[in-house]
Amino acid sequence: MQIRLRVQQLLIGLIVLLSLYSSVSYLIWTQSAGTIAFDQVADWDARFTPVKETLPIQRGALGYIADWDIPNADFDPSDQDAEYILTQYAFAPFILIRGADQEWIVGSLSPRAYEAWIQIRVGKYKDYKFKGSVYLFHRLDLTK
Amino acid sequence: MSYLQSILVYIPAISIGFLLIHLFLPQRGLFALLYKFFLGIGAGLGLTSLLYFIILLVMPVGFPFLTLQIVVLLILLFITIRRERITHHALRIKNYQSRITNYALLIFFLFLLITLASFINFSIRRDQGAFDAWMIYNRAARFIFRDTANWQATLSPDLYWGFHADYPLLISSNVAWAWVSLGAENIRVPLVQSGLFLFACIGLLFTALAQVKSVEQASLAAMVLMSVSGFIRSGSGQTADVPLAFFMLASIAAMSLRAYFAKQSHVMDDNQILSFDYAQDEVARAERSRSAATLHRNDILLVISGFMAGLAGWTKNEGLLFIAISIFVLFIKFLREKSLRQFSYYLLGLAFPALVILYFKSIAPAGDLFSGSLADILTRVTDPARYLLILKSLGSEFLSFGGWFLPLLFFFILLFFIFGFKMETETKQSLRALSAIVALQLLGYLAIYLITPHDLAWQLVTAFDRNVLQIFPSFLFLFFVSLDYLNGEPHASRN
Repeated sequence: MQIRLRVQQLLIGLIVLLSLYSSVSYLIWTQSAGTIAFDQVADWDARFTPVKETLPIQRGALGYIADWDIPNADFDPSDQDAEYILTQYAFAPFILIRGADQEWIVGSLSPRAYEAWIQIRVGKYKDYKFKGSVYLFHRLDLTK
Repeated sequence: MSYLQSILVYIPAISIGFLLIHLFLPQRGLFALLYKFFLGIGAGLGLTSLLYFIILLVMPVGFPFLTLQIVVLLILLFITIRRERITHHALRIKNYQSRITNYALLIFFLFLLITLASFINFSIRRDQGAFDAWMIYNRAARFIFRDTANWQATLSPDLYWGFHADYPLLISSNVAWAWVSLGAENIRVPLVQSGLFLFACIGLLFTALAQVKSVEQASLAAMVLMSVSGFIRSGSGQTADVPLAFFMLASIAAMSLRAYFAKQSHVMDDNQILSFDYAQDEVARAERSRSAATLHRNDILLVISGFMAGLAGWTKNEGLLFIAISIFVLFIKFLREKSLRQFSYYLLGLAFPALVILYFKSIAPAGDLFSGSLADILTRVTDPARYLLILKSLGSEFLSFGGWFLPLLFFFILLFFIFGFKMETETKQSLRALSAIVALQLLGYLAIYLITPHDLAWQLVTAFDRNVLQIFPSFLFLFFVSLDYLNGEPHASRN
């Protein structure tokens, strides 16, 4: 009976110690969970603020093009995916639809990708350039 | 300042939740009151979320929702104070003489402090929350807040599937109404809501176990929960997994408390009967009479259990599975006990959130998990490689869950063999039924992985640990409630 009690106490003690170790380890890890001064989401919001101020509409669908839409462009698919999601978050309540079928199109393009995209569409879009490789295109011919 | 505003904005909602629970469950005792407080946090946030959804449908712009909450809060305060004066309940705080109990409480508070420090540390570094938090829940809240008149754009099928426009709105609508009330998109608001659910979940587990088992059992269970890094990270990351875990636990714990109180029902005094008639000169008489208008405390716990299950479904799609499984298991349980009237109380609690969910699903786009033809689904279901992958993932998750350097599962096995299970005959049936709900929930997750149209390996890696996390507090509750008393003294520290 005494042995059984000791085993029970030992087990509870071991669980308490391992729990404590796990909790303190996590607390230490949280110190490196991110940088207080840098907020990528807020940074992305700020990046697109001038574009939203330029848009003449307050809601609806916008097109979205990025390097992944340009043939032969170099890009990291996961980066492109994350950028699309961040851009949609920044543009809420607009709905960002991939492609250039909408009247207004937001572009997040490297300079080479921008050149490649616009040179075959000269006269079809009016483009607005912003800081940070951000573009806004206005489709001029809405019949197609 | 923004932190203070974010906390203040939720105080009416959680106070309404607590007072409503308190009015319907007038039991006393420190742990009973704390249990009602933690339950009230979820009930209040769930209720405001459901009501705000209805307001969005009826009068999206210009409705003074916070004012309404304050008015309701004042009315509830008035009713509560008046009833407290009439019934003269004294708060019974047990003086714990047991040294073991005091140590257990000390350890619990130590872990609570570490958890609080971790929560603050994580939150100030990632104040926008985890990827899913802003991508799914805060995005929907932005849609509602930034263009309230056209809030249904958040349900647009044109949105990329990853934004999960079909997800229920409990988290998002609470963030949205708080932003509307504050008049600004305060990023601390979702953070505070996340923290409320995190600590309410810990508090609920502790106080429910302290009532039905012992303080030692409650402390150990809460400590294990707080040691699971994924749980604290998810609770700090503003995702819906911890709120979902809270509502599942709340539903299961209320049902378990009902079984525990039912066992004691023959010694129940009249103070434990709830009457809907609170007219001042009628209270004493009404409380003594078992009229048709009265509901037994145990029936109220059934209503609460149903309501909490409904809120699980309003939090995340996994909660819909929980509702379906709970209805199935409880129907069989009550049918076998020939007490389908009890089951109707559960359905009564479930009705309001279930109706809101049904309407929501009728206007929301279809989810991504059930896409594809029946033939596609059959192909996936009959693919043995998928079974193998899921089972391997299940085994790996069981061994690694918790983030301890030794598998947490190993200690549950040791606890079982060294202490053993001790369930009282009267509560055994209920505990078995509740354990079946948790087990079937896990099996349900596995079945969904079987039919998912997405890359199975990717889905298992990104979501399975969260699924296990969702049921973990309920599992902990049921495990420790079934375990024999740790201090070998049944009822020693029961309040």
